[in-house]
Amino acid sequence: MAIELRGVSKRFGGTQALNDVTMTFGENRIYGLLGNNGAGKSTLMNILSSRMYPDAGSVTVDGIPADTDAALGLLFLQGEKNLFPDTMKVRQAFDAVKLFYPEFDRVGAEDLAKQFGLNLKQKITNLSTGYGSIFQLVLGLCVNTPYLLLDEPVLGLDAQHRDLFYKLLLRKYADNPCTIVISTHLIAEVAGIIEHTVIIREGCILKDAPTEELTADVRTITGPTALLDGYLDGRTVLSESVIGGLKTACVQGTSGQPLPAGLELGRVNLQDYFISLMNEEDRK
Amino acid sequence: MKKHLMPAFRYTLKDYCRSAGVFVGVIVLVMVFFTVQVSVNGNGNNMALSGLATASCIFLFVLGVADCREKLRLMNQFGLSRSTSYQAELLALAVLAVAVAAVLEAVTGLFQFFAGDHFWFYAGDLYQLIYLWGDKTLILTFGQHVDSVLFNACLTFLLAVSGQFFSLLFWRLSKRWAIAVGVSIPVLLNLIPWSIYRASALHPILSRAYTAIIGFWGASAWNFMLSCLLLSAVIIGINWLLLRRAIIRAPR
Amino acid sequence: MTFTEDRPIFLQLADRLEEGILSGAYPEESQVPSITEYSVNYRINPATALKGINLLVDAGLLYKKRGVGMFVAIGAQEKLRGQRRERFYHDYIETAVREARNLGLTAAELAQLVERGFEEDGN
Repeated sequence: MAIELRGVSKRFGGTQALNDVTMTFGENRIYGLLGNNGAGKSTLMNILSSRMYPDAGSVTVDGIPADTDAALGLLFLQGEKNLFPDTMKVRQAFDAVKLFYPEFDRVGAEDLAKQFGLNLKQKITNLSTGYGSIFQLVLGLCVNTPYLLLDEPVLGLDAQHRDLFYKLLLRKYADNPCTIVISTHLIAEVAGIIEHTVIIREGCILKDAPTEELTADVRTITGPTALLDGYLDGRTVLSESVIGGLKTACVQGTSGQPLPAGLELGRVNLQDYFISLMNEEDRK
Repeated sequence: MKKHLMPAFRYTLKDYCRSAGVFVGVIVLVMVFFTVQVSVNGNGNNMALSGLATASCIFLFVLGVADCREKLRLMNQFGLSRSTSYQAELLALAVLAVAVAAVLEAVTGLFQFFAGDHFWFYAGDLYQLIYLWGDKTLILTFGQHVDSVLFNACLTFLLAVSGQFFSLLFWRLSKRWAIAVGVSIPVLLNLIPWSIYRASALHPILSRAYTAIIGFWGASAWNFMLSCLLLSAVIIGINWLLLRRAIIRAPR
Repeated sequence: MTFTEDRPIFLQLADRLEEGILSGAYPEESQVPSITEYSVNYRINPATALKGINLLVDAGLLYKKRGVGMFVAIGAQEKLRGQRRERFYHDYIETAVREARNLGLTAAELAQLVERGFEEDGN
């Protein structure tokens, strides 16, 4: 019971958007798909939902090829832009979704819309960026498919609504477990929520591991520059910064080892780890 | 696949019926308006109530052009594969073509029936024009009405899938090619019938082919309908090839 | 409520629960919040919450009543106090000693500071 990608590649003109991507989104877990702009996150999501086809490789959902009704019915993509016709009203969209996704909680959706302040009678095209996102994520939260793909779900949402969304998502996940894939740049916000992190860069998968594992082995070490340099010799350094005589370095592979006196140890959060990783890759 | 085809078909048809309702409503109003005007003005004027087939052709052509991409987008959001979406759309168009033709034929039939032997009033259509020699005094039998409906339906369906073809062509082509095609199509459409006619005179084989085809079509409405359906099938095949790998994006 | 970045979230959650039991906020045989509630209120993955709670279950401080939820075990407070004393040494004393060395304090000076702390806190 998983979404499987095998050797998926996609090229747009001169750019290789996805390069031989092989990975699995397994059952009942929250995944984070992290990457910079243009890394290939949206392309990946679009291929999963059959909005585009890969140049090479295969995608299956529970073993079924991804571009069939059976597979598509198992997943729902909340994309950056929705594909509803301009003239459709929110309520009509809910009616239509109910037709095709029988598990859709119509009543729940109307309640949620009210909670967010979404007007059911409005035309979809007249919704602002924020309310467009809200419309889509109300659908996503209520559609109850085994796989829920969220591409930048909180785009344009104010802080209050973002908080509400995450809470609702977690409640839904707790009540009706499913596989959720969140693709976003807002790493700090989702760091606590995602169980498994996939980092994508320039079409390639850099990291694909449980979130805890990624940050477990990385530490920040702060101390006088000379002393720290001595300690850093021969270790994997992800990033460094110097203020005055004090240097801070982000180092991999230090867990369990005692530090020399004068050096301080700190943990790295997911966002800092991501930034360090990207900086290191840029340097290569 | 079957599971979703029916809901998709019903949904698409309901959507099309709304536009069709407006179209048919307008046509009927126009017919009523002119009938009233002519009957008030007396016997001097001949009124012909025809060209409904032409209007239907344009309507369904535009429907094919305008709606194709939008429907595919929407159906993807609903979790339907392209093949199911396109099948549903074709089914809906077919049903629509027959329904519109039937309604307009019924209206025309009613007018014919009531106009009776008022020679100044002629209600008839393409089918009648071609296959019943445009006899103005004729009141069609039910069987002939059915033939007329099917004739119109086949023709309008052909135009609908042709409309889809243009829409899909513009979708898949780059901007430069799209402009080139957009400019050349009307030109070609005007040149081709004339060229065929002229070409047929060039060589006896071509001339015989030309005469044979025209004769084939002229012999019976069913022949023409068959040709329409065959051509539709070919165009549908091309449309499928165009849309099966197209990238579905939101409209800008 | 936010979590700091210096320790894994599930450990911090476990700590908070232990605080609650120690302070009597969660008396014995009372129910603690469910995994879902922790997950939603703290915006963390339920698996993380579960990990934290399981730490306490494994330590014999919480037990699960099937279909109802998690409850504080009898004798949990006592057990915790015992565990905490040992941890107190690691968490606080060792850190204080290290910091004292950085500042150049002797053991005696540190002891004086500790006494001062008790006096001031008493007021």
